[in-house]
Amino acid sequence: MYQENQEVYDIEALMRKYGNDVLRTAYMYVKDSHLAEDIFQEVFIKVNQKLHTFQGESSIKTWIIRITINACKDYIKSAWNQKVTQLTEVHENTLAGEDDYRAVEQADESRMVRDAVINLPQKYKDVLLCVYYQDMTVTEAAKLLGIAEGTAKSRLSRAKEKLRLSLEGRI
Amino acid sequence: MEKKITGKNPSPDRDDMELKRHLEAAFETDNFVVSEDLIQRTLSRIREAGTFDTDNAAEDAQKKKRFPVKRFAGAAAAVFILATAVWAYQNNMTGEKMDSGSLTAQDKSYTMQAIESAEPSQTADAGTGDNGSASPKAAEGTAGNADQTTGADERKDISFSMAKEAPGTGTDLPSLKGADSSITVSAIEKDDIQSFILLNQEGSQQQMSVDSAVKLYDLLGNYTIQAADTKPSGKYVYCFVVTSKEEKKVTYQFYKNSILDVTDERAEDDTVTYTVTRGEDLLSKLENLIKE
Repeated sequence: MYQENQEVYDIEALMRKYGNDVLRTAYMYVKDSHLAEDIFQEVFIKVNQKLHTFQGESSIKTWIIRITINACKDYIKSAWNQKVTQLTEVHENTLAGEDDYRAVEQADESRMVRDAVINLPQKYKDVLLCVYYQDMTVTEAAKLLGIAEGTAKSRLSRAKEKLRLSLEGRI
Repeated sequence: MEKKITGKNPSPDRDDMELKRHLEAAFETDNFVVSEDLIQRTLSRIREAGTFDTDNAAEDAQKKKRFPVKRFAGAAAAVFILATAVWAYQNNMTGEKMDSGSLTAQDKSYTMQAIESAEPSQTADAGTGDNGSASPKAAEGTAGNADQTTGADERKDISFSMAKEAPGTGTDLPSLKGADSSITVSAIEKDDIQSFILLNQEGSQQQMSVDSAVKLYDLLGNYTIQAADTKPSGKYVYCFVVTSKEEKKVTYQFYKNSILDVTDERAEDDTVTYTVTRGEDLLSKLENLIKE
């Protein structure tokens, strides 16, 4: 539990320690650096406000990533509601196009993988980022995402299959 | 976190595609990291949000402080309205009670007046009776009798006002009858008497002095006289007519069965019938008065 008079300094420390994870995870959802920065600010403002409610049931990083993913989903949902082009689904279908494959071929391997992850359906991306990128166990990811552990495992397997399919022969 | 990387059927959480390494490399290549500027901007926003929250908290606290005031004000207003309603209700009730009380007091005042009229009458009865029987002539000229006469006049004046009101207020007279109250008959003050006449049974008239009229009133004051519903039978024994200077006549007709009829031209009701206690005694006293 954080003391109230240490909130500002602690939040700065948290930003410096987990800031890249938050910013990059946000980017994986919104696929825009400026939007990712907005999400970053929103996340740490919320972390600062809710820090006194953190009970230590999970690591502080897991708790912050949960807030990040929820903030990203809220943004995507609001963008969907505002008739803004939904990022994930559209690009998922176009990912299979030969033009896209050619564009991906021109990028480096890591960027190609990142884009492939970004373009995964959200439910697969959630569990993939939690487990592989944020180093959570399947159990932690399932708890964070509010799904059954078996569901998390199957989604994780399905996500990897999709990635292999999209990255077949390139990495 | 250490991942399971061994076995033919690796755990699903095994990062066999090295996704983390690729993602980190991609971000590093693009130099996509948290800048100091972003941290400072975020801290600034956090401080603003904190200030905003503090302001909101202060507003909430003020609302919390103000809210009870409004509630208390409302409660006070409700209590005030309730108190006013209760006060008004009680006031009305009190007013009604006061009205009824005043009526009762009025009744009582009539009764008291009647009693006051009756009590001195009894006192005067003894005095006049003594004077009348022992030395009536001496009584006429004495100062004591003069005072007594004046006192009797005052009593008659009070009694007269009652008798004058009684016919006009039809409900009052029966109540006085029902209450078995004592009452004296209408009278004219000595200074207002123009003439005093005695009519005998044969119809002949006998002019009497004004002093005799006063004596008649004194004499009547010695007896308890009550208004009655009964009507006299036969012819009167004595009939006295007192005429005021305004040519208004008051006629007193005394009958054998203790009945007295009083006809007052000043009143709307012509004749009022009374019963007189010890009526035979009164008739004998009247006989003495006439003989004087």
